[in-house]
Amino acid sequence: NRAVIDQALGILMSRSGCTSDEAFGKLVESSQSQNRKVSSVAQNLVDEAVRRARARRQGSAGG
Amino acid sequence: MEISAALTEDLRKLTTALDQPGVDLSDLVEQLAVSVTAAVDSFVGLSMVLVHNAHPFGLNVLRSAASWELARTSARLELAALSTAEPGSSIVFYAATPGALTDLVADLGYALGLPAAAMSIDENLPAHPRTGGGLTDMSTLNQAIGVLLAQGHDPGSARRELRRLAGLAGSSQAVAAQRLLGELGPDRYRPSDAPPG
Repeated sequence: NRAVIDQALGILMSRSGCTSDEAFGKLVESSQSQNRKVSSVAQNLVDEAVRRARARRQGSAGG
Repeated sequence: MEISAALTEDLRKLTTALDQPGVDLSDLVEQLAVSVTAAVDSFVGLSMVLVHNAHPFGLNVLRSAASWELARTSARLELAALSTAEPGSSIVFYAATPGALTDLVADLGYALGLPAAAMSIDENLPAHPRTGGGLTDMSTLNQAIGVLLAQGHDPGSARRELRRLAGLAGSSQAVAAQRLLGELGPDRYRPSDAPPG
């Protein structure tokens, strides 16, 4: 769980230029507003980023 | 999202107890530790500072004599946001499993109405000479992987990119990860235009 949470922090930091503490705050806020565990929100963020990356690679390969 | 009602109530009782004559704070802290133990399997102890009339009172509860050595993750709550606690009041929970406290501190903070800024993870870890910076390095590495994922890499190419950056700089991957994180910010870091591979 810690690895996924750290990866999610990295994603948030990259997208918004915030610090790791600020990114953690965003993760916690999302967890509270969605009524889901922090680790679950983090996993979703990582999964979404990986999906986008793979879709981009397929698009590049296609032309 | 389940919230430990007993845990939240225990924390509230502690922050109001200083105003109540005859209350045994150590009993209340012990009770809190029992509640946390029920919520977190790898819980090893807690450290609390309560400030009353500008005087700090510190209390520690450990599950065993070796508990501090077992701690691999910490979660801190700044209690000053509670109307009954003075600035400087805080509680730190320790557990043996990395990530074990994340949901607990998020749940507690929500139940107590604390802002996200009043919560922090892994900033109060006891010094572990045997592990050195290993845990911090792993955290930095995974954050850097997250950055690379956001920039279009998949997990495999993200790890290869980190190795490539480390090789270019003649440094460890941990140092390369730190450098990558340090360069974050709008328009500060751009990946190669070539598709990752």
